[in-house]
Amino acid sequence: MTGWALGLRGRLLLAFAMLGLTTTALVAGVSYGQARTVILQKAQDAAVLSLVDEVSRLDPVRQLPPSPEQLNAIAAVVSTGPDAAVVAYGDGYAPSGLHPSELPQPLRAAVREGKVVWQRFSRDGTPTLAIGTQLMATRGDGSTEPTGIEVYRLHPLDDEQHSIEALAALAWSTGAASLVLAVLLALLAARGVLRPVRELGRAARRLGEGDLRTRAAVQGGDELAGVALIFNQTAERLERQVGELRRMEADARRFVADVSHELRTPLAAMTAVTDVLDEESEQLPGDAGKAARLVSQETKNLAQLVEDLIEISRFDAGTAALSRDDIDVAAAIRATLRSRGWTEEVTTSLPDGVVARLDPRRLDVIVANLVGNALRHGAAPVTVSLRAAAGQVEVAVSDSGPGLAPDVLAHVFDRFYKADSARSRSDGAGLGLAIALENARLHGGTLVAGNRSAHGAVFTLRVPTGDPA
Amino acid sequence: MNRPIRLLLAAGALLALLLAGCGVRPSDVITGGAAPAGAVEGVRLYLVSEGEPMVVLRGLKPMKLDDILNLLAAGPDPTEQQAGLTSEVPAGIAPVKVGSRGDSLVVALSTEVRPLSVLAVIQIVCTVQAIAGNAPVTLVSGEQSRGPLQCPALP
Repeated sequence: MTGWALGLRGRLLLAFAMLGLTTTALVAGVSYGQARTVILQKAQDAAVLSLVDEVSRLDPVRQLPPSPEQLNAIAAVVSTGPDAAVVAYGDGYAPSGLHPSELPQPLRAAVREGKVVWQRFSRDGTPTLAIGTQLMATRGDGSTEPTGIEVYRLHPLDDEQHSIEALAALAWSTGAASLVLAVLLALLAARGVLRPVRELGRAARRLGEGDLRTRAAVQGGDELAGVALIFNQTAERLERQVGELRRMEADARRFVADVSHELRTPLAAMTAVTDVLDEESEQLPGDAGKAARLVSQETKNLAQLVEDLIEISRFDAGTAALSRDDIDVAAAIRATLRSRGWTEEVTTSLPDGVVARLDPRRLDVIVANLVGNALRHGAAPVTVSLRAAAGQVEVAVSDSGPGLAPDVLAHVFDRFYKADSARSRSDGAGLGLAIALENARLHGGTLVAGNRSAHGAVFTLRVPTGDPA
Repeated sequence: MNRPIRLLLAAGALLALLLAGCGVRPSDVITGGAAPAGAVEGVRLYLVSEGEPMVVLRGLKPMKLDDILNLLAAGPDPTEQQAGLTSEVPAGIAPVKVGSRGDSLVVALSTEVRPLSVLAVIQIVCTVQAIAGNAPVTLVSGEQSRGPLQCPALP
């Protein structure tokens, strides 16, 4: 991968465009160059041949150095066409639309070598061919010698220029067309490659979001199809394993629920017996009375634990049901405190008239739990305050104890979590806050634990008022 | 430097090459075939231009070798002098006697041949060959002789 954030499509586009451009540039460039050479060579050869032909058919020279009249006569002959010419001898010359100084100097030097020479140059912006030659004299033995008469003629190359420009325009438009074609092809190829990639990405995302039944469509037999196949196998294995884990977890929960249910009946009988024992314990002597009271207490704890486990099992099984009613929240909280005998120990701030549609039994469980915890683990004074705001009821239970340590705060709602490992068993199994949280959630609300800025922990229950009928 | 940048540079160079090569561009001097030759008429003499023998034509009727050599010895006329032509042939080389020895032409001058400069000898040989043909020319006077010589090929 390069440093550029080019997508697959971008890279394909770039590669195709490069390929198209390079190919076209090479082909068009080479054929353009060839065509230009051919066009120029043809034009030059024709112009040179025409001048040579005209010069070799001149009237015989009678005098050397030539008289001005003779030079003029030759100039008149060689400039019959539209092209400018000049005939020079030494420093003298006969112009016909051309001054010798306009000629390229290298050409003038080369003419003296006794060959026909030509050169392209720019004359006032027009590409022009300058042809120069000496007039030779034939000797008796057939060899030739220079007479010193130099003939120059210019031939404008604008027609050729136009042809070549047309060629160049053609090459450019061919290049543009091939670029467009390459881009189209690249888009087509990118679509063919990207569609399966996109589908695979979508499937992976669905899998990541938890839909384990997602499968990618396997098309064809290319590398992408192989990736899709592996993806499907992975997803299948994952689904099987997660399913197994869920089944095991459900089995474990069902086991707990079943055990709790099975324990309930004997516990009810035991409770009845221990109630009798409790009443009699006063009359029992010494250790026997202590033992009776201990059995009675532990039986109550066990019964509470079983009730809590049954409640938790219901939440886990999703069978916990709300039975909502329009209740005055302040009155409900007061009733909870009164029934537990806490009215004297708890400071309240409970404005009347806050009516919400809640399950009174579950509200009782939550409040009793929070207040009970505050009384047990925090320090007096414990305050319960009620506030209604924006479709929500907020119940805050705070104490003035040392507050919650950060590592406790993170786990305070976990099941069987005990902040103080040395705490006595009689304090409960550590399911109370977990049940309170599940109850809050069941109402569509939240239960948050925190610390007050001074000291003490504060548990805040927020539940929507529902819509009071 | 990564790959796309290098590719872009290559494409850019190619484009620049294409753009630079467009249109009709000036060339160096291109050399073709031999310069065309035309017919000449009149009396041919060889004078010297910038250290090289150079043909001149006088628009005269054909004449005898003696007269031509006299013309040569008389040197360039004003027009020729104006064109920068000179002569190294001294006066009094004519009259001459023309004979032959084998293939070569023997021309006996009226003056001594040994003091003649190289250019003067070439002038005389070329002028003689221009009227008498291709045979090698030997210049003699008494016992002295130069040659046999050919008029050098000129570009």
